[in-house]
Amino acid sequence: MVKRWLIWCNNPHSAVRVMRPFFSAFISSSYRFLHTGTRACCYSKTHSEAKYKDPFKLGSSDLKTLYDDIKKELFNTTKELKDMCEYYFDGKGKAFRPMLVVLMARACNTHYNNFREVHPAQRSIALVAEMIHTASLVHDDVIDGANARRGKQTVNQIWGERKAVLAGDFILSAASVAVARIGNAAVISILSQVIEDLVRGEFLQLGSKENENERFAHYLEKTFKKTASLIANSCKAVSILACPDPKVHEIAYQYGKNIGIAFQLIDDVLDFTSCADQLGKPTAADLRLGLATGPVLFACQKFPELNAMILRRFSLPGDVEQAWQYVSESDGVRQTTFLAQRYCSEAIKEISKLQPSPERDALIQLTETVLTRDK
Amino acid sequence: MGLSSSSHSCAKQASRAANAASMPLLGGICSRLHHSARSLNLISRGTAAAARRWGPPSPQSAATKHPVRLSSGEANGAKRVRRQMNRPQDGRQATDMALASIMSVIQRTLPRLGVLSSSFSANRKFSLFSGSGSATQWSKVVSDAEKIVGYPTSFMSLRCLLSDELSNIAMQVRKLVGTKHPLLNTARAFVYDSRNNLQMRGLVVLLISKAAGPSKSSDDMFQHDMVSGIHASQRNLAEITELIHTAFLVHRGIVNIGELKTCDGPVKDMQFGNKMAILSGDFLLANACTGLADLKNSKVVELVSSSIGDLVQGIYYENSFLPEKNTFTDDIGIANWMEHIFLSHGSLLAKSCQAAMELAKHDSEVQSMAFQYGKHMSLSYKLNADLQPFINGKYKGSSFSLNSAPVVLHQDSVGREAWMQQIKEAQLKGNLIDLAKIEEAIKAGKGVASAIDLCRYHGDRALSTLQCFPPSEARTALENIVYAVTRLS
Repeated sequence: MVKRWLIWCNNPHSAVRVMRPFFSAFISSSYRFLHTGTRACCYSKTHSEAKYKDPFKLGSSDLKTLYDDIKKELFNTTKELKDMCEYYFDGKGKAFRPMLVVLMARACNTHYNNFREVHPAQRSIALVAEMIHTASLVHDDVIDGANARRGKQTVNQIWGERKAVLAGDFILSAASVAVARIGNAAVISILSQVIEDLVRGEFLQLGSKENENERFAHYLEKTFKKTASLIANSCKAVSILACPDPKVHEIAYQYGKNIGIAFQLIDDVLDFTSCADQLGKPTAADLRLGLATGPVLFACQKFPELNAMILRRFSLPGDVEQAWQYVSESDGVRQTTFLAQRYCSEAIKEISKLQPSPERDALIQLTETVLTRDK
Repeated sequence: MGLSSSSHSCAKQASRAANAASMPLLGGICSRLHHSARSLNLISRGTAAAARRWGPPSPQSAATKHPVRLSSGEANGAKRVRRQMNRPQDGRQATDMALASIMSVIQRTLPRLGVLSSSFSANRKFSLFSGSGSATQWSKVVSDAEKIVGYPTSFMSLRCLLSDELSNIAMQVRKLVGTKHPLLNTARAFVYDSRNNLQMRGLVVLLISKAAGPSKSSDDMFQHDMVSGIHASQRNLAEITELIHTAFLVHRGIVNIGELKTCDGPVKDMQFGNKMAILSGDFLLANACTGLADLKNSKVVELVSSSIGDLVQGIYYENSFLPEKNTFTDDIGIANWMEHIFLSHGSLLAKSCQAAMELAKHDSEVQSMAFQYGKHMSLSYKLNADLQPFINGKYKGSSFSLNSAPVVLHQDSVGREAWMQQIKEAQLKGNLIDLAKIEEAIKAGKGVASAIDLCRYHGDRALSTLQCFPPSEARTALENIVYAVTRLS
């Protein structure tokens, strides 16, 4: 195996350091944590959030017709294929990626020449990011045999696996066509990297590492490839379309990478803390799929019994319940949230290097949204 | 093996050219060549071993319970493998089998153009043309064509085949041995079924690149990266075309879990097979995407990406005609049929041919001709394949698709009511249909003759497009491919 995870060791918040228990000592009390590890259901928002201006407002004007425009890209003559492809573009998704992309575009444009609008090519990236994300969801759901997502049945559940895989391929090809039309070789190459990362991430998920430290690095690498790469590289793509300065491209990439990893870490936490209604999919889904995510890996420190379960991918009867119990009795959820928080502060550090603008501040705000989201 | 020596000499040749021109680009290609030559050597030894194990099917093994065909070659080896067959659940022994099937995948995507042909064409039978004198004819056309395009293409496929990801798949797929998942058949078909086996698309892209030659507008510098008259980028494109084609061979074999019957074996196996099929298909597609991006030509990216979309739509139509769907009552009409077939069987090659012209900076006139050649050749090829069960004695009584050209044309000629009547007469108990009876009815009508006419018509259209290229051995090879495809006797 190529040890690409080494990149993480250069990060000041590297996996190995984070693994050290001393971290849990200085968890700041100013942050609300999602959960204390009990299995309480249906966590509700407190009002303390209200003081934050909604970062989503700034980008929303650019995204009004997002789903209609995506549907135009997905044009084809077969009614059923069309229905399948458009199934998740129903406007009920969070559109987190397109939002982040347009905010980044405006922030970079302002930084470069005080131009606050979004270029049409940059907006295309927002569409493409959502399309690539959706295509990967469709394939992931077939791979995992999932039957519910975003509160409705999955594509494979309704139309069957054969057609679902084709639908995913079709969305991906439409996304590639859209990227090609932008006509920028660097952008094409960056987004093709995303597709490769997504597939490699899925492969990483197939295996697990025996060694504990390696296992955490493996988990973070998988998290980067499966989630953060798309966000990081779409951010980089819009920055390239905004200005020629490689420093800005790096800022955009780093911001995207860090917030992307945080996003997924919280996702993994929510799998333990949120209830099925909120998430739109069953909870403890990861455990049932045999996947050991952040909370379990942290819980492993307190309950070494988990090691054996992780290696057998929670395949014995009672494993899932037992693992859940261990996680709730440990600091796993809290530590994972804390790790996510560290990635978010790194993201804030990066984006703060850009010239101030409302969009830049919205991107800072967005990290908070990532940490406190409940679905 | 011939393969490594030929690629070595090419590498040396290119290396000399690079030194002369001191172009970093060429140097890079050369190091790639050297590297690949080594890996090729390695692989070819592996595939030779696999070929021994996976030689031509013997009749008795085809009838065995497990869907595994074995070589009648090496006695010991065969015995060993047969033992494994009886105990596919035996992990360690199953590994051998799995490796053999993976080797077959590797062999399939290997640069067999001109390379493996020396060692394999003896064993390789082209079922499309077998049973008639045209089998040897076709082999000759292909091997001649392979020589023209020079050294093998698929270095990129090799890189991706030697990757961690596919070795991972190799480890996993062994669990599928003994199940009925189509992925296993797809892997096996890479060895046996020549219709899938032959890297026809890559070969045509290379030939048309060579036939078109360098464009008048391009400067001398640009022509320096040509080897055997083909740009490196065009060779990469040929591989990408094959990668995409292979990815969809794999994705076509996804099973609908909800429709499984108890005789299909455990659901878990099928789910696992689906997982492997999706992952390996996606992996090939992702490699195609990065390969396309590396060509640094957004028009080519757009063209080839759109052909992926076409392929999906085409397969989608194709699936709606699966036998279990009982859609024989659909009145599709030959015009719609041709449109669907273009999407599923023609678009990828047509657009790849066009893209190859774009890469050499040929004008839109030449690009359009290349597109037309790819399109009409593919259609002619598909019509030929559809006709085989009707004109080839060897296929008698074998099943044919009710969505094949002769059936659709027959339907058009006799009219809907008469066709429905014929279907009714051939209907057996349940929803089963007596295909032999239908076959007789079709042979008595005009469907077969019309399909032959159509096959020749598209062949002629393909030939006429080639007139825009100057006479050359590559052009002759493209013509010979058409002649082989339209020879129907």
